[in-house]
This record gives sequence, C-alpha cells and structure tokens, in this order.
Amino acid sequence: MSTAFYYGLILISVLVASFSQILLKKSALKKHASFIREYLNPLVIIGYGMLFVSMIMTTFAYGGVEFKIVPVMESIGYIVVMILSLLFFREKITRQKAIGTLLILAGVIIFNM
Amino acid sequence: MELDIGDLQIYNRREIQSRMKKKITIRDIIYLQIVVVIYTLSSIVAKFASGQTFLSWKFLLFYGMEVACLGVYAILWQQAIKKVELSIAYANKAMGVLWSMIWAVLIFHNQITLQNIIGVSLVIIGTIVLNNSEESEVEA
Repeated sequence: MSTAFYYGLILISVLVASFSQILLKKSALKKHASFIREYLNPLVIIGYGMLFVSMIMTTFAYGGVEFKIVPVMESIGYIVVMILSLLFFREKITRQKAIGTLLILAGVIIFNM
Repeated sequence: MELDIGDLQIYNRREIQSRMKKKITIRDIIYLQIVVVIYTLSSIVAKFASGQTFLSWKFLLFYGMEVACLGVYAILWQQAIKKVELSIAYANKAMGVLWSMIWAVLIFHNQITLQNIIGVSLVIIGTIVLNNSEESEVEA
C-alpha cells in the first residue's frame, strides 16, 4: 500500500482520538449518580472504545511510515482538540493558548527531526 | 506581534472579573504530569513485551502491565478533564516527550541529541505558556 494511505490512516486516527476526547469531556461535565457511573456510561465507553480503535490504527500505520513521523502527526491532535473544544465547550482559543500550542508543536517536530 | 503585553493583561483581568475564572493550579499540573507519566510507562512495558517470545509468560506479564497502565491512565484522565479545560489538558500530553526521553536514557541507555534537548525545552516552555493561560470555560 502507498505511503499516502498510511498518512491518511494516521490522520483519521488523530481525528478519531480527538473526537473521543469530546465524548469523555461531555461525560466529565455531567453529574453522575456514583463514582462508577462516571465510567460506566455510554459516553465514556464509546470514548475509550474510539481511543482503542485509534491506537490500533496508529500501530498498523507504524508499518508504513518512518517511525518518527507518527508522534509529529499525532501532535496535530492538540490543534484539532483545541478547535473542537471551542465548538463544543466554548473554550476560548486565547492568544496565550495558541502560542503555547505552537511552541509545543515546534518542539515535537524538532525533537523528532 | 500587534498586541502588546499590557493589552493582554487588561484583557485577562477583565475576563477574570466578568466570569470568575480560575487558573489551572499547581496541583492540577502535577496531577496531569502523573497521568502523562503513567501513559509513557505503558509504552515502556509495551517495548519490553515486544522483545519477548509471543505468548510466553514474560510477554503476557509485560502486556498485562501495559493494559494495566492504560487502564489506570483512563481512570485518572477522566478525573483530570473534570476540572481542567480539555484543550489545555490534552496538549499537556506533549510532555510525554520529556518523560519518554528520561526513560530512554535511564532504562535503554539511549544517547540524547542536541535536537532532543531543544525539542523538549520548547515543549516544556509551550506547556508552561499554555497552562498559564486564563480559563474561559463556562461553569457547567
């Protein structure tokens, strides 16, 4: 299979992992009847299920791309989650948050160069 | 940069006044880092597992430890995002780069390069900047 396929796979994996966080946060914002209910509810079960699927996709993708590229592509998730958090939870993307995230991205890229 | 620091501070102060926001606390940051450390430990034991014969007892032991690490991580993570903004908590996972580098040196005796150090430093600075941003989340 082509390299583009594996890149696409990692990108989908990043999106799945990012959306899983939205489900988890949605559950975290709710009041639950008990501690166990904070985990045994559809949002959390589906959320961690998605995270599991994402991990399998990433593991599979390791076979098709250079090892170092995976963590770099995974860090795109920080931007995706930031945008999703704005849309779903009205978490503002402040200047400071944006700068912090860009520094983190630059750091991850340089680390893996 | 078109906005100077003065403007930024006034903006932040107004935000605090208008919405009674709290910054992320030191405790939150330490808690998040513990969660990230546990997450990086899962990849360490995964690495140990991959070095063993498939389905040997050592393989199963390391694999079991990996699953246990991920389970604990999942439980703690769910508590972490209760208080902290998701966008901030999630980006804190980047600090895994630092912890993984520490494990690589301590456990696998890998060499670290100048690029590694520069990269990790940028991630640390970025995380500090991010963690110090004012919260904007509306109380649920």
